[in-house]
Amino acid sequence: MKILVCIKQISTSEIHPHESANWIAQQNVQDQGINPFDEYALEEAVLIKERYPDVSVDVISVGPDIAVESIRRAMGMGADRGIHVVTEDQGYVTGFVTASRIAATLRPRDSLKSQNLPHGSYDMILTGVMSEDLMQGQVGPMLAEILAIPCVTSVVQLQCSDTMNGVTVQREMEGGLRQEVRASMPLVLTIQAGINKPRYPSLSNILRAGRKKIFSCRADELFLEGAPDSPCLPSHGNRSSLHGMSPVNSALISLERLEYPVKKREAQKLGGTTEQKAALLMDILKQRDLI
Amino acid sequence: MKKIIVIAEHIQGQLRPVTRELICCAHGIAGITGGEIVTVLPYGEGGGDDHYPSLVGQVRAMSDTHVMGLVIRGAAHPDAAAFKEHLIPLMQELDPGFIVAGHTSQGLDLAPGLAVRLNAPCISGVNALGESKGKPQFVRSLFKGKINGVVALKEPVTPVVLTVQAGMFLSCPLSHAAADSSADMVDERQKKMKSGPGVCSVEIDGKKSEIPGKNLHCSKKEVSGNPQQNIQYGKISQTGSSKSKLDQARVIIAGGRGIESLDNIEYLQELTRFFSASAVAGSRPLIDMGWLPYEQQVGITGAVVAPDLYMAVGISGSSQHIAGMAQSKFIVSVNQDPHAAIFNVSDICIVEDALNFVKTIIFMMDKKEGSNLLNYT
Repeated sequence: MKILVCIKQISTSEIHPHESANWIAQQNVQDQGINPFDEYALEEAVLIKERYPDVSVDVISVGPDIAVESIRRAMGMGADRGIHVVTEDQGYVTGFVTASRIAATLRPRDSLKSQNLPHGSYDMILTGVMSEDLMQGQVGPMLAEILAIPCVTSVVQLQCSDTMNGVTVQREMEGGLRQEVRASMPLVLTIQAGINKPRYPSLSNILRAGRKKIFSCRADELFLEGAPDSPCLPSHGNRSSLHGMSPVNSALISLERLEYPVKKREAQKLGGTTEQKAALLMDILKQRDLI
Repeated sequence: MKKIIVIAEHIQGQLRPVTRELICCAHGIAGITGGEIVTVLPYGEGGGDDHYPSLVGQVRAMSDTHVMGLVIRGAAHPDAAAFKEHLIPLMQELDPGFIVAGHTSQGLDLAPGLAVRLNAPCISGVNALGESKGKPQFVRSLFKGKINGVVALKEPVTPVVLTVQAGMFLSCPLSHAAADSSADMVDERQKKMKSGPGVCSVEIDGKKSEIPGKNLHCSKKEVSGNPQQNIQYGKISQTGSSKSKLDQARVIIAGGRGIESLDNIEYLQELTRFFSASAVAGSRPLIDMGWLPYEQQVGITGAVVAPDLYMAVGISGSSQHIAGMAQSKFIVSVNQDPHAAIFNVSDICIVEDALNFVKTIIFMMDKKEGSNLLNYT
C-alpha cells in the first residue's frame, strides 16, 4: 500500500503582523515546525506502515526552501521518501492552489521526467484537518475532488480493512458525536488531533533521513503554458473545467490586510505585580458575587 | 441580484444552532449585495425516522427565508458525498451569488469539494463581514485565532462558497423580506419522473417535486471523469456520556496547555474550592493528552457552556475553544501571551504565567480565609 502524507511547515513561535500589514514578519527556520495536525496524519501513516506489510509512506510539502527541514523531520518520523514542491509564495495561499500543486506532482509529466519525481497513484492520502496558520481546512477535500476520489474529514479513528483496499473510520462531529464511515481506496482522509500521539524522531532515523535524497520540483514548472499535459481535471457537469482548475482561480481571492481581532468584551487588563493582579481579581469577583 | 444560499445543518432531528448563524451571516451579505436568501435543508432519508417535517418547521420558526428541502432517498444523514452530488445541479440551477455553509464538521466535509466542482472560490472560517466600496469583505481567523485576515474578491465571480465560524454571527439584522414567490420554480420542476430509491425529491415552500437522481447506495460510478462514490456513511454514536457536570456548573475553571503538566490539574481543582457549584474543564489539547476525560472538554467538539464565571487558565483561545465558552456571563483569562486570542472574548485579561498566577491566587485566597477565621475566634 502506498500512502502519501501532505504536510505544511508553519511558524511555531510568536508571530506579529509585518508593518505593511500584508503578512507576518519573516521567520527563521528554527521558528518553524510541522503543522501539528499534519503530525497526527504522519504518525497515523507510520503506524499503518508498522502494522501491515508492504506499506510505503511518502511525504510531500508545498512551501519555500526552508520547508525542506520539515520534510526531513517527517522522514525522521518514519516517512520513506520526501517530495518538496518549492514555491516562493509568501503568505496567503488558498487551499485550491496548494491542492492543485499536489495533484499536479502526481501526474507523470515529460517536463519533470529528468528529475525522476515519484508520481502516480497512492492508495491513501492523509492530511491534517487544517493548518494552524491559515485554518482553511481545504487542501484535503479539494485534492480529493481534483483527483476524483472520496474524502472523509476529521478522522479520529482509522482502521484498514483486512483486504487492504478500504478503510473504516470514525469521523468527529460536534457535541461528542462520531460517525462511522467506510470507504474504498484510493481516498483522502483528513486527520483530527488526538487520534494518536506523534512520536519524536529517533536519532537513528534522523541520521538515516539526512542521507536520503528529497525529490524536488518548482511549483511554477507544474503549470507551464501550453504544456500538452497540463493538469486536466475531469469535467464536471456542464462547466468547462480547465479554466476553473488552474491555480489562476486562486488569484480571485485577495488578502486586503491583517488586523488584530476587535475585542468583543470589556477586556479590562489588570496591572501591577502578580499578587496585585490576584488581589484585584478577588475584589472584582467579590463585587460581582461570584466568589 | 443573485440568491444567497444557506446550507442548513441538523442532526438527529434537531436543527443545529449554527444554522441560525448562517442565516444571520446571509442577511449580512444581503445587506451589502442584495439578493434573496434560500435555506437549503439537505436531508438523508435513509435513517428511518421521519424528522423532515419537523426540521422544515424548525427552520421556519427560526427565519423567514425560503426553505428548500433536498430529500435524498437512501442516503444516511449526514452523507456529505450524497449532499454534494445533489447540491451541485441544484446550485447550478439556482445560480446563487453566495453559498453559506458552517465551518463545522459537516461544512468542512462538504464545502471545499463543492467549491471545486462549482469552480467557485472558497473562503473558509469567516468570523465577520466587512464592506468596501459596496463590495463585501470577509474576515477570517488566522494563526490560531490571534490575527484576522480581511479578504475580498478581486472580481465579481459567482458563486462564492463561504464557511462560517460557529458562535460569531449571533445577532441578526432585520429579517430580509422574501422577494418573489417561488411558484415559477415549482412549475419548472413538474416533470414526470421515476420514483424509487435514489430519486432526489426537491421541495420548495411545501410543494414537493421529484427530479431523477443517481443511485446513492454506494455503487461504483464508472462514468468518465466523475468522482467515484465508494463511500458509505454509517451510524452515529456518542462519545462518553452526553450529560456532563459542566452543564450544572456555575463557575468553570478551565485549563489549557499553559498549565504545563498533568500534575498541575490539581491546582485547578484547588481553585474550585473557593467557588460553589464549580467544575474543572480543559481545552482540547488536555483531553488529547489524556489529562482530563472527554466529559470535561470545552469547545465546539466538546461541551458548549455558559456559566456565570469562566476562568481560562493558560488557554490560547483557538476558535474551536472560544465557540464552546464565548457565551459565558463573565470571562477571566490568564495567559502569558498578551496577544492570545482568548483575550478577545474576555472581560478581565491577566497577562501572567498561568500556573504561577493560579498558585498565587490560591495562596492569597487561603490566607484571606485563614484571616477571616481568625476574626471569629
